[in-house]
Amino acid sequence: MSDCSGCKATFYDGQTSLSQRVTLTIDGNHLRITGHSQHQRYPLTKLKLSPPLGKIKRVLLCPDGCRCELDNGKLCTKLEELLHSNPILSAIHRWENSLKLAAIALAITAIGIWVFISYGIPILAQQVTVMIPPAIEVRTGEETLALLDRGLVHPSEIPPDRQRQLTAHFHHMLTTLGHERPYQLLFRSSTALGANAFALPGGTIILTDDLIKLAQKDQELIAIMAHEIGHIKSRHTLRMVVQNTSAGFLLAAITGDLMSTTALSAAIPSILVDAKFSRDMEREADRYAVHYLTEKHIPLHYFSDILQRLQNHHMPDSPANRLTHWTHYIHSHPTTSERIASLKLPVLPAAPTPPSQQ
Amino acid sequence: MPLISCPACTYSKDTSAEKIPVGKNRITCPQCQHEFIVYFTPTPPAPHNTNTTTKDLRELPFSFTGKAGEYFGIWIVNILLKIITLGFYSPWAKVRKRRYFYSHTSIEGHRFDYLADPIILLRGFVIALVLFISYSFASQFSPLLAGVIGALFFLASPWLIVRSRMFNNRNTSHRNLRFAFKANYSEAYIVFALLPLLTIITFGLAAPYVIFRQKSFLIANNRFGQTPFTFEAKVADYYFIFLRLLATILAIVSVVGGLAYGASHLNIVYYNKEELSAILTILGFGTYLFVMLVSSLYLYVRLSNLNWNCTHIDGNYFHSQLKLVKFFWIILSNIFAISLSSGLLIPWAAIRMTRYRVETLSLITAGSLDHFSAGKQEEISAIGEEIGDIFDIEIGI
Repeated sequence: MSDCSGCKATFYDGQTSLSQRVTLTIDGNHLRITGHSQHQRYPLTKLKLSPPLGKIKRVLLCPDGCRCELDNGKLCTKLEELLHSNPILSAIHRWENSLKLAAIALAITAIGIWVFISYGIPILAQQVTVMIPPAIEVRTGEETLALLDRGLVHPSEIPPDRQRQLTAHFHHMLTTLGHERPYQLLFRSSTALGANAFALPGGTIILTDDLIKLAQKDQELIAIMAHEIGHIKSRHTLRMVVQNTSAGFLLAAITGDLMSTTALSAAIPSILVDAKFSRDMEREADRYAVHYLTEKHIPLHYFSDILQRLQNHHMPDSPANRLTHWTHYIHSHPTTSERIASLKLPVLPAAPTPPSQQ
Repeated sequence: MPLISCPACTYSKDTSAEKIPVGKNRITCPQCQHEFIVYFTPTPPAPHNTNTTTKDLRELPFSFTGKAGEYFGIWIVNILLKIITLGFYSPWAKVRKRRYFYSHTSIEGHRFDYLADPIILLRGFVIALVLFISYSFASQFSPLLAGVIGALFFLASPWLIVRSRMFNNRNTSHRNLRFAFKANYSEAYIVFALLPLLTIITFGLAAPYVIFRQKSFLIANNRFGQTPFTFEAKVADYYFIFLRLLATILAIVSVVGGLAYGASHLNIVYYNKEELSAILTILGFGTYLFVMLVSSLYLYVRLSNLNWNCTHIDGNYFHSQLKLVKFFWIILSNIFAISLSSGLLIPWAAIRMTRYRVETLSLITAGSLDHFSAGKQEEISAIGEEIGDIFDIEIGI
């Protein structure tokens, strides 16, 4: 008759804060609660058992608002069979409590986040950038340039003739590429940046004096300019802002169930994610440059030559492949060897080392 | 001879037992004028006996028994299911998380519980989500529309705070009695909409007063069963905390500023102009971050202690003893651990923080806690709670 006689529980009547120890007994289709001043009998169908969670005591809720906190699980298993408990919640509980299943959940979660960040966010960002008017970018570009001119870069010392020559190349490129943005080419010198080229949002491309000196052929600079035009055409700065914001939001949503100060620690994963986005955009700009060069029948080795020379310029001591594998993840650019390999060209056996520069 | 020590300046004095009335005493330190509260239990403490009728005070600590390993499973499954269901699992996730933390919090062996029905939370979640999406889209296309929605949202926020509080209190239980929150909307609009304007007008001088009013509103409208909470803090306590914070900030800034000035003018270290301005910028920014972090933690610790220590229910007093240095250490090491583990130690950090906060809290009682009785109950929708959640309104003691 009685299956689990002697299962102890703490009983609260729901009317006062008094508690008492009671004994629960299953008696046919009824549950009997007996205690110091309690003698109750409830039909099993009217009882509710709280879903399992961690190792917290299961709670039995009676129709009149009484509550029993059960001491052990023996009665629970019996009651679970008799009462209709939610099978999904029980499955979730088993999952939460098994180390193996939790590890699987962890792996799936990590993969899910990675897939969303790698594919979902860039696609969403592309949709969003289409809706933002280009005027905003032009404005941002002007402000960035003003900021750079205030200290990081200085007026160029390249002879005006040479400047005009390169500007002519640039305008020639534009005639075939279209004028949908206010493109302009500027020259600056900078000890801090060395040989470098960058695209500002809106359409401004800056070549540094060191880069121009580093190039041995004009085609090399055309390849670099095509790469930078690729950045501007795909509105990479703006997409970067959108992608970094949404990835940051996602990471904060996952990690942010603590006090807000601790959310600072979400910064590290987002640095890695931002660097990944940046590398992806460099690859995209490279592809754009390759596309342009192929179309103009300019041999691709000019592009790989200048990339290799830039690599040697910035790290004179280290061969292109010395970068250890893991530092790859914090770099804003793909490694030069990877970029050259993607051009499907043999790497120059020994690039002439440029005169040592600071 | 009980020894009474001032928590602010460590001044202490032996006082004869007859001079101090039994129970709660508000004492002003003769050395630094800091006001604090002392609970006095006559010696020897009586053995714990629930049938006793004497007025002996007992200190009942809150205890927390959550385990990081166990919570890890709940946490990771919550995240995964939230991602898979595009967020629609979040009501269940919230209930499971809160039930885990509440059920592991107990006093005298009696646990708390979180009883919200995920389905009711889901309804609120859907409404909040629709509002959030329309707000995001509106701000994309029309700044004016976004502004109007923003203003409406600002107007609704005191109402949301009250609704959220009502929902959460109603669904929090202890000894099978539920908590409740009095729906005092007019005062909510005064303390959460009108008084913040006062802070702006007075350039922040009124901030301690406004915080005092908000805390008294949030605490004094709570009920456990039908028994109301009372709140006895004084405005001066809040001004005292802010003044001490201000003095600390001035001290830090003047030390850093003095060092920088000394270093640059006495030629101890020689830098050129550009380097110097760069160093000063970094130093200034670093000091700013440090001061912000210290200030927010300082305010959190001191205000939590003050608010709890001024809260009573039916002759029982709360006693909170958060320590600034310990709290600072827990926060910093949590940040460090979470960063290094790329987030995997979040459950451990959450359990650790909660354990410290719960275990520094106790209830001082003169009798037993068996005489509370249930109040009237009505079902409350979760709209306020979920809107507050999705738009990130933070309230709390």
